[in-house]
This record gives sequence, structure tokens and C-alpha cells, in this order.
Amino acid sequence: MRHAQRQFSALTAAAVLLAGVAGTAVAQEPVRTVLYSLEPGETILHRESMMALTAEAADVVLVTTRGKGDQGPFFVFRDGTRKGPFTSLKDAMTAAYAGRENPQQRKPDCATYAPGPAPDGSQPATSEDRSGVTIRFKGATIGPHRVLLSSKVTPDGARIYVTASDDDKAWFESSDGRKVSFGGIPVGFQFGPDGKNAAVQVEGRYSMNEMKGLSKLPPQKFAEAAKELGKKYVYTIDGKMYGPFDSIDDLWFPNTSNDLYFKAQGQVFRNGVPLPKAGSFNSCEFYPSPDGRSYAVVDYANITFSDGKAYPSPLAVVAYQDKGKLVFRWITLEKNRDVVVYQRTM
Amino acid sequence: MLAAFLAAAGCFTAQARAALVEDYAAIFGGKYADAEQFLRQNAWIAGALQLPPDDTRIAVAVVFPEIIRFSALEDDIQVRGLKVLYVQYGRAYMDFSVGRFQMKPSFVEHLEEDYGRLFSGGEKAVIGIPAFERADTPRLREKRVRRLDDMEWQVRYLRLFMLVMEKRHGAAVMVGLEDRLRFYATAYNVGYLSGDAALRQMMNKRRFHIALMFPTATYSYADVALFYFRAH
Repeated sequence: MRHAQRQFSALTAAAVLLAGVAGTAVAQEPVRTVLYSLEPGETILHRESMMALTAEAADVVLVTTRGKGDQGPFFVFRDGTRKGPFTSLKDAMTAAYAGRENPQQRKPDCATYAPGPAPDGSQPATSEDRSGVTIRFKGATIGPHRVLLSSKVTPDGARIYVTASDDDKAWFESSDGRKVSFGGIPVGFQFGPDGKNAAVQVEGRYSMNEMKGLSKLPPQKFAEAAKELGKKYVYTIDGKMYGPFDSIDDLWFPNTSNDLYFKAQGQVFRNGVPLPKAGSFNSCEFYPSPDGRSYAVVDYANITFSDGKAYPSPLAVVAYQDKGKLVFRWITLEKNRDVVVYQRTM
Repeated sequence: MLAAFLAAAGCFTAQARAALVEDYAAIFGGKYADAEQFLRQNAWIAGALQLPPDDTRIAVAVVFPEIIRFSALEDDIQVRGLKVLYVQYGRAYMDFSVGRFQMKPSFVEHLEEDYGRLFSGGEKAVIGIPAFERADTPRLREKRVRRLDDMEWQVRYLRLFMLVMEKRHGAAVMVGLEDRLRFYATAYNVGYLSGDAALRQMMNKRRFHIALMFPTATYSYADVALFYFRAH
């Protein structure tokens, strides 16, 4: 009997362990918290309200009305309590934001990585002489090149990326020593949140010298060359080349990953590989996981996850990494009544 | 008829004098200059309107004050949430402005309805825009918001506004091109569903401003449009 009990206990423990492993392999159901419920006839004045989400907190100030347009009565939900009615919007706004930051100063929700400014004192030294333009940054030298096209220091101040052009080729370089040269015109580059991955979008494959010679070509050759001028390429700082494409609509790194994404000819690519079933979306609306295996897409109607689960579209959303997993927090208005905070781990 | 004509002429003259007083390029400064630059950089808009030359000038002047007012950052931050609420819940959340021409979903819904109602199938074929689906559903509201996000569609809607105005207010007494511009600009600003007399009464109201809220100074929308019209 005791032996049978030990076997049962072992089997039970194994089942629990397997269930636990399986549970971490799939996304969790979201945790739902109702912050506030509108009363009948009450609507949110979204422009006057504030909804800010971080990994730690949901900071919500709601200004609502039971009238039409800019008519009251107005109400305020702040710090967990409802105040009002107020007959004037001005009084409601005073009650809503007394002692608080101006609500117009918040940033738009967008899934693409937009690097902040470089730290003070991290600007490169640039010099120019007959041989061209030279950039010096933290002991590294880039150039000389004939023309410096663009440059940006990463927000951690660790490296600078530069695009430049000589008569016979163009360059995309990093102060950490990586560089790639190509024909064509660099039109813009991006780097990822960790500052290490970077890529540049290039038009055509002709160098400046080659382009000067195009006008001397016979008409047919000129026409072929003109077609090539319109082709688009992507070069990574590690030397990979993608293309040619007839069009590149977008090139970005997401906030949630250091993978390169670009949209070319209607197809979304992740590190140069077509992303299956990606559908059509704005890069601001696309939140991929670091390993690229899961994602969420936010449009005006829903937030839809790669496992097929969908919820009403958020009024504010934030995505961040926690212990190696991608976590989403968002605020939505459900059933035109409940202001709800959701949290879901992928 | 004569009384209406004389009233309109007298009204216009007083308005013309008032309109000469304020230099809106100086008042709005950099924002006015930015709006002019936007139109220079987007010269395709004039051709895309597919209107006679005078109507093209009027259409561009009609939306010019909104181009002054448009702020890309405010558009990103504020309007997305409003779009979400409109798509999900419809009419209770339709009073917000989108894009360079600051068009509201309510304005566009009325335009789509009038386009379907006032224009024959043959006229629509000539215009080249099919009738819009009619129903108040999240799916169609999202399609409408996506169109409002598209500058080319805002230009199409501006063209439809001009055509619908001709249908609805074509019999109104207009004393010359500038009077017509002020009338159309007022209709665009306050809502074109109002009657001719009501729109005339609104033409001199000073309700236009570029502050986010609680403005300290307001102006006549029609006068700002006229100032641009005269300079271009």
C-alpha cells in the first residue's frame, strides 16, 4: 500500500510538473482589473483624459460628461475616486490635474523603437580637409570620406553609426569597427534598442562616379540604368544584403526586440526572412516578441495576438520584457462602460 | 430676391473691410508659414481635386485654416484613442478631427450619405467614386477611419464637399468668388447641413483658434480662408 501511495504521489508530481511546463509554453490568460465603470449616458472626454501605463503602474485620470459635445455636467475620476458634477469643463480640468503633469505632454503609443538623444558630452569630433570628412568617436576613426550623409550616437553613448559617400562607393559604418560598402545612395538607417543591430536602406546600386557617366549611355542602356536606380536594398551593419525590391515601405526595429523588420512589396520581413501570415499592419501597431515566435497587432478595433486571441482595442498599451517573457499591459473601454486594465504574458 | 442680393452685397462689403484689417500670416506666424509650405510641397492636391480652377482655389482656401491648426504630434497622441472609441462605439465618440484637413467622422458620414442620396449613378460614374456602404457598424466605421488616415482620401472627401455644397447650396445668393469662398469656408467649419441664412449669420463669428483648449484669441474662419485665397 505504501509503495502504491509513493507511486501515485510520483505520478501526481510528474503530472503537475508537466502541466507547469506546458503552462509556460503557451500565453497566459490576461489578468483583468476594472478601474472605473461609467454611469448610463456618461462618455469619456478622451482629449481631456490621461491614460499612462508602465510595467509597474496604470496612471489614469478620466474626465467624463453626461452631456453632448462640450456640454456638462462633467465628472472626474482620479486616484480611485469620482468627483463632480462640475458645470464647467474648466473646473473639471482643474480638479483632474491639480498638482499633476500637463496631460498634453505624454508621448504617443508606438511599437517602433525611436532612440532618444545621446548622453551629454558624447558628440563626435568632426574634421574636414582635402582628403574629406573624418569623424572621431571614443578612440575610433571613421573616414575620411568625401561626403558625410548622416550620423547618430546610440542613447547609451557606446557607439556612433554613420552613412557616408565616396566617388566609387557609399558606406554604412559603426565606431565599433563594423562597416559595409555598396553602390547606391543610403537614404536612412535605424538601430535596435540595444544599439548593436543596425541597417540602412539604399536606393540603386550606382556609385557617384557611375551616376555621372549615365548621361553618356545610349538610350536603351540609359533606360535600363534608370530602372536600376529605382531599386531598393537593405544592408545590415554585419554585411547582409536584402533586395532588390521595387519598394520598401518601412524599415524599423521594434521596442520589444533587436530584430530587423522591414516591409517591402507588401511583405513583412524579419531579419530578411518573410514573416508568414503577418497581414497588413502599421509598424507602430506591431509588437513582436524577442524570439519572433509571438506578437500582438493593435488596430482600431482589437488587440490581436499571434495565438488568435483578440480583445477590444486599447486606449493605451505598453509592452516590456519580464524574466525573458513579453508582457503586455493595456487599458480598454469594455461594453461602453468599464475602463479595464489588462495584463497578458506571452 | 433683390433684397437678398442687396443684403448679401452689403454684408460682403462690411466683411471685406473687416477681413482687410487682420494680417493672419503675422498673427499665426510660423504655423501659417508651415501651412503654406505644406501646400507647396503637396502641389498634387490641386490636381487631385479634379475641379474647375476657381473651385480648386476655393477648396484649398477652405481647408487652409485647418492646415494651420493641424499638429502632427497632437494628432498622434490624442486622436488615436478617439478613433478607437469611435470604431468601437460609434456616434457618442464622433466629435474629433483627423489629419491635415481636420475632418470629423460626423462630417464624413454626412458627406457619404449625401453623396449616395444626391448624385445619380451616372453622376457617380463621372465623379469616379462609388457609393459608400451604408450601415453603422464597427467594420464600416474602421474603414471610414482608415480613409480619414489617408491624405488622398481627405482630398477626395474635400472634392465631395465641394460637389455636395453645389447640390445643397447652389441656389444661394453669392456675390462674387470671395463671397462664395467665405460661405463655403463657414460651411466647412460649422457644418454644411445648416441652411443658407444660418451659414450667412455664422460667417463673421469669431470661433476659430489654434489653442488646444481655452483659447485667449479667436478669429473668423472665413476671414482666415479669405486672407490665404487673396494671396494665392
